[in-house]
Amino acid sequence: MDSQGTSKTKIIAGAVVAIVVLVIIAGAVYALVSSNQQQAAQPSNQGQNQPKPETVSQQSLQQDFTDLDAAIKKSQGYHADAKAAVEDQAKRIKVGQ
Amino acid sequence: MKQGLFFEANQLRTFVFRAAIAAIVVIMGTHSIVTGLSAHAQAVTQNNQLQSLLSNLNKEIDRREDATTKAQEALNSSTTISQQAKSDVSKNLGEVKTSLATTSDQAKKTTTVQGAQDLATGLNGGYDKFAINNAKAQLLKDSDSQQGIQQQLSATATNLQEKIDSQSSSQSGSSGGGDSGSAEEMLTNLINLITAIGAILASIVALVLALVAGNFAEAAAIFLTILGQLATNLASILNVQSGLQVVLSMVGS
Repeated sequence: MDSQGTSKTKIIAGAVVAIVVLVIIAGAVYALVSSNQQQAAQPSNQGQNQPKPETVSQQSLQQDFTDLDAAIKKSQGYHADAKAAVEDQAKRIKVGQ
Repeated sequence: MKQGLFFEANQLRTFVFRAAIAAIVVIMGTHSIVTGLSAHAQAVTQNNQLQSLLSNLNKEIDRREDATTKAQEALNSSTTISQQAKSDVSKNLGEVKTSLATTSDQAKKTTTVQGAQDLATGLNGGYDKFAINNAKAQLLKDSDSQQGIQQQLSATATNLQEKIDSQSSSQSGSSGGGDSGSAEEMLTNLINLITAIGAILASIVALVLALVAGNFAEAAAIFLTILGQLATNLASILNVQSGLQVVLSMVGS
């Protein structure tokens, strides 16, 4: 009876995970398609309205990468925080029992 | 002889009577001491139980308050998440904090084990709201930081494109091309990857915000899947960054 319950739970958990992955992929595909449509619509406007940007230098590009390095390091920290929070909260502490 | 016997019998009766009274006094005294000691022991046990319960209660309140404060700070520092989305999750975190503060105040006034037990039951009942909203806030911050990087990657790619364009136009009069053709092709692929990363992140954020689960155990599987997806995304970000660096080296100074 217990093992039946466990396997049922496993099946439900597996289905939930599969649905989540599908939702993420479907959302991503939808966003990609709409972003491509936007990109396709943009060039005709860009040429008319936007001023020609200044030429970028090697130095400014290096600065871009330095900023990216810093942002990625921070992001790794935030990801570790999120992971720790989800894992920590999964350990439900019941007081007085 | 008869008188002697009577005296002895009388003495014996008095002795027995006195002994009986003494025994009653001893029994009554012992009983009240035992009752007193037992009541004291019971009071000590109950007090220990109360203190232990209150200590566990306060420890859990502190743990949840710390986690909720961190989650609120993380959420407030997000820049790419919409204000509406931030305020929805923030409102729930605020309610969790208020509830914890109320329980903490009541715990200070509680003098009975039953009272503390009732507070513990209430605290246990509030676990799902606390855990789900904390996880949501932390996952939103994680997604937000990746969205920020995605925008930086996009800006860097645009700058590289500009560099390639300016080099192409300056070379078009002379020998032409060089590495700029393959650099441009590689950059186009990287821009597609950057767009895909952004699309996945938008999808993740929408999913986190839409998640209305009453039970954290049920939501945990979804949260862990989202975490896994964010880890994959971070790996893609690192790959795109390396790719852009390769393009930069191909473009040269």
